[in-house]
Amino acid sequence: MSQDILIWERSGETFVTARFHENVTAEQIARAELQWKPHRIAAIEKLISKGLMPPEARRLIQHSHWDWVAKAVALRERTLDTRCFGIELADEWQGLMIVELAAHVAELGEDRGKPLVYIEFLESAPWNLRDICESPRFGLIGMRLVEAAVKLSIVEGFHGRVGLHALPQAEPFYEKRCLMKHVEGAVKHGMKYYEMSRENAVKFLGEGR
Amino acid sequence: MADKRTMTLNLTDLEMEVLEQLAERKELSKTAVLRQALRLYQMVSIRMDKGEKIYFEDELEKKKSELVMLS
Repeated sequence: MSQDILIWERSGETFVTARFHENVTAEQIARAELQWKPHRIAAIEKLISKGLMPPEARRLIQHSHWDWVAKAVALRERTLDTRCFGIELADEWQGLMIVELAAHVAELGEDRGKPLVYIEFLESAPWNLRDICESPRFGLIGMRLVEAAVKLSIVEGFHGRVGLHALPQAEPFYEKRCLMKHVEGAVKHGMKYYEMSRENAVKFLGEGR
Repeated sequence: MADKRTMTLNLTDLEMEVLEQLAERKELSKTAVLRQALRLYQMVSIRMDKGEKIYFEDELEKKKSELVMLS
C-alpha cells in the first residue's frame, strides 16, 4: 500500500511529490541497499583521501555499518512485530525505516511500561545526507518517516508513543525537530535513548511540518 | 492499513478478567492486547525454533531463569 507525500527538493527549493510505502518488502530493501552502498563507499573513500583513517571515516558515516539486507530477515519471516516503511522517488529509495511493535515499552512518566512503536532503523539515502554529500538532494525524509511512526502508534492504540536509540549525529534532529525527550540510562550500543510522549506526539503532528 | 477479519473468541471468566485488566493497565483495547500477545508469541516461537534461549532476569535479586516453552 502506498500514497503520495511531499518532500523537499533542495536544489529547486520546492516541494515535490514522492511515494510513501507502508509495507516495504525484503526485496525492496535489497534494492535500496544496492542503490545506497556505492554512495556510502564513495563517501568513505573521499574522507580517506582527505587523510582520515578508515575507522575514523566510518565513524563519521555511521550509516555505513548498517546493512539493510541483514535487517530485512525479519520481514522475510513475516513477523507481526516488524514493519518497514519507505519513501521512493524517481525509482530510487529516498529513505527507509524499520519499526518494532511488541518488544519495547515506554520509559517516560505515567506511560512507563506501556507499549510504543520502537524505531529500529531509520536512514535517509546517502545523497540526502549533509555528512556525506555536499549538495544533498531531498529534505524532510526523516521527518516524514517519524510522522509515519507516530501515526502508526496512534492506529495501534499506543497513543503516539515512539522510542528509538539515536546515532550521535541524529540526536539534535530527534530532540529539537521531533520533540523527543532523552531518557537517561537507557543506552544501547553507546547510543542514547529518545522517546516521544503522547503529549508531544499530538504537538508534533499538529505542527504539520 | 491491512484488511482485517472478525472472529468470535471464547474465553473463560478468568481469561476475560485478565484480558480486561491488561487492557486497562496498558491502556489498550482488548483487540490491541491480543494483537500484542500474538506478536510476542510469534517472536518468541521463531527465536526458540532457531535454538535461541529466553531468560528473565531480576537484577536486584540476582536471579536469572530460562523460559521453557513446550513445542
